[in-house]
Amino acid sequence: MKKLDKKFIIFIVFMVAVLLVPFVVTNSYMLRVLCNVMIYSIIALSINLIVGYSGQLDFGRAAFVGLGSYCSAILFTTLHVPFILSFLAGGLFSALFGALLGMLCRYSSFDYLTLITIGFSEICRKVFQNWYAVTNGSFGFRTSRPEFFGFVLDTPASMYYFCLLILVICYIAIKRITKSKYGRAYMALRDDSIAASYAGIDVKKFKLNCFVIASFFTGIAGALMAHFTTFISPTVYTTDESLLELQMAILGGLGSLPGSILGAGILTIVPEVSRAAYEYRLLIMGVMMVILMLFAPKGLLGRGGVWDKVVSLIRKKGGKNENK
Amino acid sequence: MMASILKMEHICKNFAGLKALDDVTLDIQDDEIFGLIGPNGAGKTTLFNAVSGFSKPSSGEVEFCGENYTHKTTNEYCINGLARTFQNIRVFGDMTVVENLKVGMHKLIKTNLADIILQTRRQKAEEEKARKKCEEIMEFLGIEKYADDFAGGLPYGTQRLVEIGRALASDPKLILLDEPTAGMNEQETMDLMELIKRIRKRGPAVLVIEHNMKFMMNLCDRIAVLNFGKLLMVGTPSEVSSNPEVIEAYLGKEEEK
Ligand SMILES: Nc1ncnc2c1ncn2[C@@H]1O[C@H](COP(=O)(O)OP(=O)(O)O)[C@@H](O)[C@H]1O
Ligand SMILES: [Mg+2]
Repeated sequence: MKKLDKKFIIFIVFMVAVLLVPFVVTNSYMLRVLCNVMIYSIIALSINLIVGYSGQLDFGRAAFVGLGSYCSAILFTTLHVPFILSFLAGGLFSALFGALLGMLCRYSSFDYLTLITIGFSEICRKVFQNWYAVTNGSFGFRTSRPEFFGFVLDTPASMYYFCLLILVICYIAIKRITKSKYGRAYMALRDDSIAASYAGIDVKKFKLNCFVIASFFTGIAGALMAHFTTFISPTVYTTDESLLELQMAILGGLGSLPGSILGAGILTIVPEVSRAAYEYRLLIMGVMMVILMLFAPKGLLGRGGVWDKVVSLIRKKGGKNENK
Repeated sequence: MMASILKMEHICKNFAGLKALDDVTLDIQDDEIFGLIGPNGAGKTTLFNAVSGFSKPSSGEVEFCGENYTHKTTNEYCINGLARTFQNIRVFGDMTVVENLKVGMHKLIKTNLADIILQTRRQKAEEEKARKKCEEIMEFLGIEKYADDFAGGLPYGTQRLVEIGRALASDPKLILLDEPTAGMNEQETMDLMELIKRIRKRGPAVLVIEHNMKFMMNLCDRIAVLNFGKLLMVGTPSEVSSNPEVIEAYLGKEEEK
């Protein structure tokens, strides 16, 4: 009980600090970076659901971000559909394509999912690039800021709060899913699909619904990104970008939701802070990936990851000292 | 009332020229502990797989709870009340013990995605029900102190209990145990025997594969002997242990070792 209270207090302090940020940080560049962190956090969380929980590998998340972006941007900016509907449609559109790919796998095999996601992401990029009438091709197009009943979120602070709100909602929803029979089914089929099927879990059905649910959140993040950057073009939805997003989830720790936010934070902020880190980011990330896979496959906050190791090391040392 | 729960009729299973099961006909009652013995490679595990939807029999029929289940999936068997454990333990290693048990309750938890995301009263009530039931089962098995430990890091014997707990959590009518004492010492084996008797009293019928004859003699109501995929005989433990054919095929060999 005491431990729970402590956790709760830390949580409250953290939330208050996060809410106060726009009052302390008035530099709009910094706020923009933080918005990016939050958007990528949602993407990393959705990847965590697919890769960390249900144990499938997805190399094409950026395509689903793109589907959410384009859908929401076109509905809102071009067709003047009310913002909240366009925004949700972005998520649903992405989920729809998630369902289509998932169905392909359900009736063949989920072993092909990784390859299918790579192929699909290339197809999407080509469509974004070449369907001028709708996407304006490689030139991209300007999008508008979110608008509720005539009230436009055009200041950095208002955008910060909007991103925060969406992140909190997505986080809570994903957290609840992972703590339910759905999340347990995902982990079970990841750990041992035969035992899972003997426990009454329809393995393919749950792999499919995990992919669809995650795609919804990816699409929401995409929609958020489109209205935050106010400009979209196909260059943002490449396989490189997919890999970067995957690395965020892996660095933070597969299976840890706070880890996904941490991973997104590190991989968004470091290249912003250091010019060198930005220029060599592909190299650095490659090296980082190798080191992670060799020495800390569970990432920073995953079960048995770096954080757990450090904690147990400190506990051990503390224990030894007490014994002496 | 005694009734047939799992009926196998003329089950055959072929693997590329090898007749792993050859015309096996058995009828398990819903109130018994039924033993299956036979030397290594006799086809015991193959029989379990064939009558639980994992690998369809090459020919023959399976009836589970009075319905034809020959072409059903493992999933459908589970939903209708079959649970099993595995010869090579299959716990969910990166999940805690209590999570493992809750996975066993999967089919009993009646909530949908909307309930979960909105955290409705129904969702909370179902999770609470699951938590209580799993606690009760962990106490029954004596593994409550491992509740929040990852199953993959537990000792072998405890993992076996976690597997049994997961099976029990689904409220099965029949539970299949594939060599549950493998890797256990004398004491653990005897404890497990008592446990299986207590499981039988809780409700499910038990079909158990085992090598240890002493264990089986004390435990089972009836025993079937399998040799090279063929059914040698079915009978009470004393009938089985006094049958010269069985002694030659199985018991004799054991003594040579
Ligand atoms: N999937 C398979 N493919 C080919 N042969 C198999 C397969 N599974 C089992 N067998 C063979 O079937 C026979 C029976 O095996 P099994 O049922 O595991 O025996 P046991 O009675 O020891 O459990 C063995 O000869 C084994 O090699
Ligand atoms: Mg076997």
